[in-house]
Amino acid sequence: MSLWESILAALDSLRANLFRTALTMLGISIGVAAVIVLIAMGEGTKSYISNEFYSLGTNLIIVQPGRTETKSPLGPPPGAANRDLTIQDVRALERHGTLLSAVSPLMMGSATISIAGRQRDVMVLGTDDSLPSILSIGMANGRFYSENDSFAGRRVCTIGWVVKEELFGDANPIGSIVRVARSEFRVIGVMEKKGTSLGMDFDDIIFMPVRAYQKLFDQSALFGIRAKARSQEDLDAAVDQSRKILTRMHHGEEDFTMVDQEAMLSTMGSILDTLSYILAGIAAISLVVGGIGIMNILLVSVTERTREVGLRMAVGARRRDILKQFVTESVVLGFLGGALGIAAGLAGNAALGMLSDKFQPAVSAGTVAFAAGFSIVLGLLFGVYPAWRAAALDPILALRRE
Amino acid sequence: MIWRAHAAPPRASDASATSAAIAAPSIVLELVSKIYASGGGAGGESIEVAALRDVSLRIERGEFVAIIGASGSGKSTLLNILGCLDRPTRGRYLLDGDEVSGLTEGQLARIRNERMGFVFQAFNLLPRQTALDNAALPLIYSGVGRRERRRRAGEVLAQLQLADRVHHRPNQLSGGQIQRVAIARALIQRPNVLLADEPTGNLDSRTGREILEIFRAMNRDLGVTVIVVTHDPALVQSIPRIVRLSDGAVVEDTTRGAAAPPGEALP
Repeated sequence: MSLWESILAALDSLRANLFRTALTMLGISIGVAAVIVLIAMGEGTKSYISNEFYSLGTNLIIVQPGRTETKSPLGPPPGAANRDLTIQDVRALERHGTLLSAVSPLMMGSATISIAGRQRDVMVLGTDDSLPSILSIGMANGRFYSENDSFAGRRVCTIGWVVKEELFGDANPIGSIVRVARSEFRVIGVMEKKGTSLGMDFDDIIFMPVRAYQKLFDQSALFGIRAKARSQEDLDAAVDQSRKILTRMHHGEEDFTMVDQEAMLSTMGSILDTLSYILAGIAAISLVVGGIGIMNILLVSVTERTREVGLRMAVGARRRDILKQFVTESVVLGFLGGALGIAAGLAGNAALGMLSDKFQPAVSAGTVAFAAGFSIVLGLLFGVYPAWRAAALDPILALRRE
Repeated sequence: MIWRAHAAPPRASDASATSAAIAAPSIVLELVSKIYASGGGAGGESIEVAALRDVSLRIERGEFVAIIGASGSGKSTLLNILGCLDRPTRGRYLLDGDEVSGLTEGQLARIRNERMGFVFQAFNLLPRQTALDNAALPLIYSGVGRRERRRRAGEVLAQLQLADRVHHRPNQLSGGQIQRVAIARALIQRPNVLLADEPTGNLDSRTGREILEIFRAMNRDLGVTVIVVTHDPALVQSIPRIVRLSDGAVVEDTTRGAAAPPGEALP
């Protein structure tokens, strides 16, 4: 009997107990669907996070004060630094960092901003004119402060979209004087809408020249430095170069931490991979349960069809023909269950994808092929024992069975 | 009943002893015993139960034999051994001159498939398959393609007056029709030997006579050796050779008339 014929025969006998077949298949289907959805969610989360990262610019290099021995993607705990990063460090990187296309200091704090009796607590970023290009943020209105403004520490600021809406409504804020903490600043631009990235609302923020920030908060140590490598190929070399420059600035001591975007991403990625494999592993347990379901139903089927087995042997079936017959049924059962599960899993992914435009579950063709293959293997594994039981029947006793 | 002109040829080709096979008797049993170890003793010790004791039997090609005896006398065991479904514990079984007692399971399956036809009291058709597929079943195991299987099954069913029933399932057929489908299945490989275990046991007497008639025609026209285990007195009456078993041994072996070649029990 050809393979195709065996499959047709298996389908035929599976059809004999349609409801039972469907229930058995369901066990496999649920497992396969769960594995596919969970893997897709893992992949989706990964690409969501990397999109979030890249939305803050590409080829980013992050310098934080303080040294970390462990490779935490988030840098050292704040306040653990023994030597601060300074504006001089930024200038040194600008001057000698030939592989960098931009360098910016970064200071962060919060202050109350008010105008004409309206006020709002916002996050204040002290930085210089190159940060917008590093973080890929554009202007909605007006301009960002210039190098000159930065250098002179002029009391000018650009405000995020939410700040503008809250304080000015529909009025044009350009040229207005706002009070930030104890000082007055002139608004010279409104940042374009950026939304939330990695938990930080870039629209509810004001930017001011770093020297103005230092004066306002009476603080000189930088929160960190952000730099951008010329290209992705140069990223590793740029990190090395920057590290050398800063180490020299710090008298030979590497008391800062430097992380590049790719390294952060790959750290995050491997954490997420581990997580999604754990989840898929848990889902795979339900696949094994489904396989046991196949075995169970096949054992019942063998018992019910004992006479059929005896008869087939009497008319010339060898033991391996019987073995093949039942294993084929099991494999077909596994495959159908798997196919159904794949369909359900893909449908589930599509449904999840509709819930959000930022988060899209993604599953590769390889994963789908693996799921299909796995369900076939499952059918094979769990079909062998019942099939062996059938093949081991004594034809005489089998024929006598009522 | 019209049978194929080319009655089943002796299958000399697959006998290892070709020259001997031509003239050799179809079946020779020499001192065959079948002993079961049954663990039914009160103290848990196993008891040996002999289903057959030193049975010697010669059946020539083309004979028509009835095996009779009380239940438990070993009729079915004998039939199973003759049909290569079971192996003797002791003794020799020569089929067309070949020793079969030492063959592997796979070789026995092949003999059952090609040289034996079985007809059962309970018919044993596959309930979900049509008459055509039921009759064609043995061909699956000799590697015949589906189309050819159906063609040949259709031919045999037509010879058994079932041409208009080929696409019916067993539950759409009468008892006599079902048994004829089962006979078609037994005949499809043109076996040398047809073995029937109480073939009329589940049929009314008129249908039983019909089935007997078919056996007779096969025996006469195709030269098939027919061996029937039966209780049915009507059947016994019309079968030329009677082998009676009692307690696992042959106690009577008589041949009547001259219709069939004379068979004789070994001394």
